[in-house]
Amino acid sequence: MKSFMRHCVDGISNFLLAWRHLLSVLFLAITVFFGWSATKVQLDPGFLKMIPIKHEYMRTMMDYMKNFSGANTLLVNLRWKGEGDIYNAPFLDAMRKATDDVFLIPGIDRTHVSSIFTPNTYYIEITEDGFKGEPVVPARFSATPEQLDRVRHNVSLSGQIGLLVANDFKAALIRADLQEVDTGDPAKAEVFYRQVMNRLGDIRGRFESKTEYRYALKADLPPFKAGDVVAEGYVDYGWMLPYQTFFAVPPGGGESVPVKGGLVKVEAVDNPDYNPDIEVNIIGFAQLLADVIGGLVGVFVFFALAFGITLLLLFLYSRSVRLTLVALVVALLPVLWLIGILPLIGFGIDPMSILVPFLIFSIGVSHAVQMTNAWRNEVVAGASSVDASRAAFRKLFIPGAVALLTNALGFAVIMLIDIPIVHELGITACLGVLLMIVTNKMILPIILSHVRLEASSRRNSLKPPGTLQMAIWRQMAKCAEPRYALGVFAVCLALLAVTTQMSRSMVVGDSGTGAPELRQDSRYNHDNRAIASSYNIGTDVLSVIVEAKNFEGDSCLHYPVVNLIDRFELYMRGVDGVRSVTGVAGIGKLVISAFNEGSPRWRALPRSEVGLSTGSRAFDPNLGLNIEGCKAIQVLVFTKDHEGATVHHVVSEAKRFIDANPVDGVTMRLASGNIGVMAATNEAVESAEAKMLLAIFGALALLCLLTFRSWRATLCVLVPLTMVSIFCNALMASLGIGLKVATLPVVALGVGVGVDYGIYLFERIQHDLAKGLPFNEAFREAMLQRGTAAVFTAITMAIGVGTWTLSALKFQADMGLLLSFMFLVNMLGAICLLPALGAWLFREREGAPAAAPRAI
Amino acid sequence: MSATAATAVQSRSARAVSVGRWPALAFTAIVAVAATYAFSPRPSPAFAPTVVHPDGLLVTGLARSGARLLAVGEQGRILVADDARGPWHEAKVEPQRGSTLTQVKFIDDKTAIAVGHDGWILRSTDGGESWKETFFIESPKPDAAADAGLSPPPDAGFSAEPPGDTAGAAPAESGWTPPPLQPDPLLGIAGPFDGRLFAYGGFGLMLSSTDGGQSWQRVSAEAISDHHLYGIVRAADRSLIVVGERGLMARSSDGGQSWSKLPPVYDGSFFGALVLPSKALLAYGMRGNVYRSDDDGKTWQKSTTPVSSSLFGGNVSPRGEIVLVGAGSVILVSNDDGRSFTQPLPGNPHDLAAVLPLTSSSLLTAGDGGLQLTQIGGAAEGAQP
Repeated sequence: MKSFMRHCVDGISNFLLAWRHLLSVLFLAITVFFGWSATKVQLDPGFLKMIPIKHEYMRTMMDYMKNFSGANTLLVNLRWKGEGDIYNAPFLDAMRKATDDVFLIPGIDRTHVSSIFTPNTYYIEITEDGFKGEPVVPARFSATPEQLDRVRHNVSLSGQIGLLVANDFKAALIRADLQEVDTGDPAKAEVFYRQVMNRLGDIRGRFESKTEYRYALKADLPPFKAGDVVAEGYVDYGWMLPYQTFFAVPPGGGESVPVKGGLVKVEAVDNPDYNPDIEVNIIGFAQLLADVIGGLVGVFVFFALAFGITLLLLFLYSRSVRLTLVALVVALLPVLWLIGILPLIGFGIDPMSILVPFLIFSIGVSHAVQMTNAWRNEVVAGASSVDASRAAFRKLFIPGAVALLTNALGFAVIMLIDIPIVHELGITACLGVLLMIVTNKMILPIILSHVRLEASSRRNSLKPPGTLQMAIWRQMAKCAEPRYALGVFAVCLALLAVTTQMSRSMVVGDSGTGAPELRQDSRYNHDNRAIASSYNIGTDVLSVIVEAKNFEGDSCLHYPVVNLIDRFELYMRGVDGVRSVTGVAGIGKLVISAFNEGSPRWRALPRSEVGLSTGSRAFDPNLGLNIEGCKAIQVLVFTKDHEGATVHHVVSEAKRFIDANPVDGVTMRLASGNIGVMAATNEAVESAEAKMLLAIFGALALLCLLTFRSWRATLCVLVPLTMVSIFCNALMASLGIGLKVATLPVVALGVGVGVDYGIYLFERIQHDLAKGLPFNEAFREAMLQRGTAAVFTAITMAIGVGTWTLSALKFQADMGLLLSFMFLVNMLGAICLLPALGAWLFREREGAPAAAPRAI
Repeated sequence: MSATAATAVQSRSARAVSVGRWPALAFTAIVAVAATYAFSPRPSPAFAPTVVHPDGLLVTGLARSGARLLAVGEQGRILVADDARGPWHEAKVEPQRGSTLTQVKFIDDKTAIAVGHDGWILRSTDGGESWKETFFIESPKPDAAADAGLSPPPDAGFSAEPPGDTAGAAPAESGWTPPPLQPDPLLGIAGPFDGRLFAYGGFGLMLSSTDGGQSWQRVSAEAISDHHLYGIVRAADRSLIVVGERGLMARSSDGGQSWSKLPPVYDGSFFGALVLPSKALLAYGMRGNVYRSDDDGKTWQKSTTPVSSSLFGGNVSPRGEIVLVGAGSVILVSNDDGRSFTQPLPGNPHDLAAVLPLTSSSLLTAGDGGLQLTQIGGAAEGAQP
């Protein structure tokens, strides 16, 4: 079989080089095609893709997505940083302007905008003659001291303290709902969200920016004339201006027209609304989207950085400009091809799959290094470029292809996780690695056959390796001697004991508060904390859906239904980790009490339908807590944070209540809201973890057994990988990084890529063992030949993914850090622990130069 | 790992395995065990058990006997403590009807009565640890009610308009018949006055008991039948005075058998009444209105208050200060026997329904924010267990 393989490899190499000119043209054509296709790739924030859609909770969410959207709420908070409370002329003036601005955001549901300036915010005063209700801010408001006092009084009666006015009276909120546009058309949705984001940026800039920028056309652009101001804003785009698109409404009205930033000139004027005492906080899905997309753009900078560092390292390693460029170009090819394929198979680039190109690039560089290295050795030894290419191909095709297939396997295992974004990550990465078999193993030899090595590099190669370098490898090779191997075991066991214990405290899910996509110190999370700390509203909410479909008339007028909700609300308020609970029962009791002159002793649910109908104002679908006729009602449970443990506890307590309190005709379904999504995700991630690990280690074991035909070799390769996986968990635990959608694939990726070192090294060792060399000598040979390349590869790859740690998106940073760690430590495992294990496992060969390792 | 391959090799050189390779194999085994342990389901941190939090329950009634404190509130929950700072625990209620309780009162050291919605009355003889039902008005089944004509008119229900409006048109006292008993709420409890306890509430519902709350009889009187009743006090002349909705004040000189209305002094509702240490009477109600009478309720004088919030609860401190609480967490204190009140603390959005002065400067308040321990003149602090 081996000779057959060898035969095939020889055949392919001859074919490649005989047809190299034709193949060059073909590959060039493919590259041009994919390059063209790559321009069509779409950025996709991928929020929905992060959800395990098949999970029971998520099916509930999808069923009621239309009814209880709520997810698209926008909160704009104005905070007064000056003296006193918000009841002063400048603040209320800013508040009125900001409220007006929110009304102008495209797609805003104008009937649901609320702030102290909107007419739907009124105060109710209970008087001897009944109710008296009026808007909080009088119609003719002119900020006289009497009127300011009036507003203060009205607000205190409006019940909006903690909702629209901060508990410390230093801030006020505008709440609005964004209506979804037709999401069938992604291009339209993108334009829509871009406009919303621009408006939000303007609202922030209007009060926080000292300067205002006016964008006037440089030349006529029908229907506009030169000098027309097409946009105003508060963002200084600087050199980015030409890449900006403004949307200007033509003078006669109608669809807005996109105007390229290059066509306008900027005029900076003083911003009349600037007030140093006002801070603007904006949170909501649209703002989060804006920030995540902003973070995504930053990724290109990291790519440039990784590219630059790799370039430098490659040159230092090869001392040849030509080889450096060849390696880089060949490493970029699969990236380009991959990005070109994505639009063809209907994928976009989301915050997770955007990292795949980095990974592919890094892996591509490492394989290119192996190949160019082998080629250079041949050339230096006197072969022609073409012969050197053929020899390099024959030497490296098998181990390289096995290593790439292993990588592909590692990525394919990720597809086991039932979360679309991870699934796509697996497919994308798998595809990229498979493409690399073509680009690195076929295109690279063809390119190399055209290259002539520079004399300088040739001279450099002829120099014997540095004595220091050799000394290091000789020392490292001592790991392969049984006596030193025991020392390695001892160190590893000590590390293992510590890390295993540490890894037990790894948590599932996100930590802290705010948007987990972004860093804790991001503007969005700062705003989120500012709002969460001064109002009674939380942004972490679990929504439990109560279905009561078969009741006659309005289900909320049936005591068993509302009483169940009432009991659930009280129960959940007693759960550790819950901040507050909102539901129709609590609000219904408030309304009933209001009809009884506000007395708290009337805050109870009557058992009769007639009695309950007094509270029917609470069952208005416009409040967003139930659908028409209360056929479905949502109870909102606000939690203190969204740490995995809290989410788990709150959800399991809700389950406990549901199980213990069955009511005929009523079904309580978990769960929607961001906590519902997190609960489902965490459950999916937790159950996927063991499955994924077993799958990848099982697959690798099989692959190693097939390749090496030796259980001992398999152990040598897999045991270090297992240890490093435990180390990785310990690192996550100590850094407070939870197991989540983004970090779950890390172990699979790290193991799938990390196994390369072991395979490359062992392939070499096995050759020498076959010749009858004892293990320690075989290992020393392998280290002298491939050690430097392995270390170089690990460092390049670690740097490539390490640049992600600079990302504004928290999960990218987490992934980058962990992958870097996995790559480096797996390399260490391969050069320290692998020989130590081999030294003992292959020990009986000492003094008995037996036949080739079990026949193949 | 391929088991067959392993066995084959082991059998070929069993000695080599047992002697030569064991460190590596042992190491492998340890790593395998460590990995199994590391990736096995991880324990989740401990959370406090789910209980009703004293600050998460609507509490509308407070009572004290010695050190024992009782707090009653929504869904028939009763909290018990021996120290106002907690810990509070839940009492046993048999059967738990789930109706909201509105008031609680000790009638002797150990015996306490709690009243609530649906005419529910509970009695405890062990200082509030366990409670037995002594009265409850069952809701008619929806169908049966419609057939029997028991259901209230559709526009009445629990609104301010009582269902018995037509009763007022009855020509003479003797010709008046009380409306059928409905599951209306009980909102207060008073007594015992000469051995007689009173429980009273919405739509003129009044019950009395002469056996310490074990059995209850309905009291019907036309004068009070179309108002919610919020408070009963006994004046120095031993007559009883009831206050209630829409300025209701009525007097009974025969121990509660018959009632006659007093001339109105105020249009709005009175939510409660107190007997002051000086034997003066105090009625408090809507929009900060407080009235005081020095002549057993014949004439009333308006007291001065700094607020226009409704007042839902009141009590007298051991030192004789009068404390009233109400909407917006208003706490009013009077040091001049109820003639004028001051507000020592700023309010907040919560409503208060009851107050229990513990010492001269510390109060236990109850409302929709649950139980709170409040220092008058000092900072407020939560009553956490």
